[in-house]
Amino acid sequence: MQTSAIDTTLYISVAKDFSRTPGPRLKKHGSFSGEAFRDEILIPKFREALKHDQKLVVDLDSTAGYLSSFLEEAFGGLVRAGNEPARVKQYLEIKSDDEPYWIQDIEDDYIPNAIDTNH
Amino acid sequence: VKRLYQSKHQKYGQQRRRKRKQRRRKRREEQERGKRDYRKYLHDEGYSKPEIAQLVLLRSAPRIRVHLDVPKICSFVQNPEEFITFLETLGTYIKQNKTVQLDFRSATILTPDAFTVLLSKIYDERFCPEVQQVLFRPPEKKSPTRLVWDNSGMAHTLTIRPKALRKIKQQGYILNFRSKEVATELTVKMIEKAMEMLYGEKRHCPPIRTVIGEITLNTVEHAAGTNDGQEMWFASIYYDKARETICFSIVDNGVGIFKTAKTRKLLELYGELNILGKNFGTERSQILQDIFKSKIRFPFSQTGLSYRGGGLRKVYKRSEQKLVSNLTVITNDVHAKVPDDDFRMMQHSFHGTFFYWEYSDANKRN
Repeated sequence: MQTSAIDTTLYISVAKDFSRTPGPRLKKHGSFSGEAFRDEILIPKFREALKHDQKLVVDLDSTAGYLSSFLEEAFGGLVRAGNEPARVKQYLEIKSDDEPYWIQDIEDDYIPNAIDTNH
Repeated sequence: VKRLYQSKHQKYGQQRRRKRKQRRRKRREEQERGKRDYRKYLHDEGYSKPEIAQLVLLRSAPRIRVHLDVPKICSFVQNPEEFITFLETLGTYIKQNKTVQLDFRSATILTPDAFTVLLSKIYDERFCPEVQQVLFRPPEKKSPTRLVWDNSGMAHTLTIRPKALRKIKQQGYILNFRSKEVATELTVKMIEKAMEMLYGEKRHCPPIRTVIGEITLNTVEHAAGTNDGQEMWFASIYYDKARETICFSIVDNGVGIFKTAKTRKLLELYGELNILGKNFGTERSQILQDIFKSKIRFPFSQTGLSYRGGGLRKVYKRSEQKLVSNLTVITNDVHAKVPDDDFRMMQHSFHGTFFYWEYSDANKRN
């Protein structure tokens, strides 16, 4: 997706807006965690997207690479923060040209399976 | 006046004696400091006072030096069974407070992953209280294994014989990283170094970042076997110039995958399902295969949350997608050559978890 065509206020580049070296799941495990990304960047932007009824594009490219737990905590955590999975899918668009397999993981696994079924 | 009339011989003699005295004092102080640190370490480990006194005395006694040949195929990936036996022998000598000289001249095949495992043991205080207890005899100069020794930077990692080390030219193809954390920056730096060796410039390699990240996170979270414990991981990279391939290895001396809390739960579940007539294999090699291939969704994490605990699956997936080659896992008594789908039981058990994989330009194209 071309970045120029997107409203810049509803576009997140993990590399530019957060870190080129995303870290582990939780803050206690290390710096630039999925938890920090979700709380500081993703949730405020997603609220804005809902408010303006616009899509939020999250660009995963140009980083050193991801841990699955970072992405699960960020996008699964968005659902656990009180957003319906269908709503998240409707308003969120993932861009990942470097590692396209993450898109499927996020859309088909992390978002629908975000809620704990063991408890 | 006395100084003026002192002969040259007297003057320098005094200086020599003074310096000798200073050296002796310094050595005594170092010994005392070492004893104090060792006492503190033993105290923290929970030894009683008489035991500490005995151990300190034993440590200060002159050590017997023993000679130990490394296995002929000195490779943890190719020859894990014999290598584990060799590590057990080494551990027995160290426990007997002997200095062990490891002779690499006997090796006909030498691979860098053997160094990673060996160093991780030597630098582990539980296995080897003093690094100086292990000495190394490198391969013969004309031997083909010598190239691996020299290129690996193994000699530089060991600071046991600094004078001898100065003679060896560093080529630095092996980099050892140790950490008790996930250490994002450290792993990124490690990957950049690897890519620099391969392509001549620093680059990112996201699939390798994922593999290293998942493995190290697993180590930090589960390898200690308890909720509060933390295990150290030890990694190395080696550039095989002839094959234009980077060899990665990561090892920890934790409890191994089959003794972590979550796998114990899985084993219990397997037992229950088998009682109910479901045909799940109970052999550990089969279970490791199931964990990797997500035959059942791995439902346990230390927190018990269903959405957690998918790290190993991602490592397997990167191998399946051919983004890394020759993924090999050795943990407890299981040896897995992942691309060949060869998961087998071993007669000897490895105390920890070991991962090995390779990366070349061919993987980039996938």
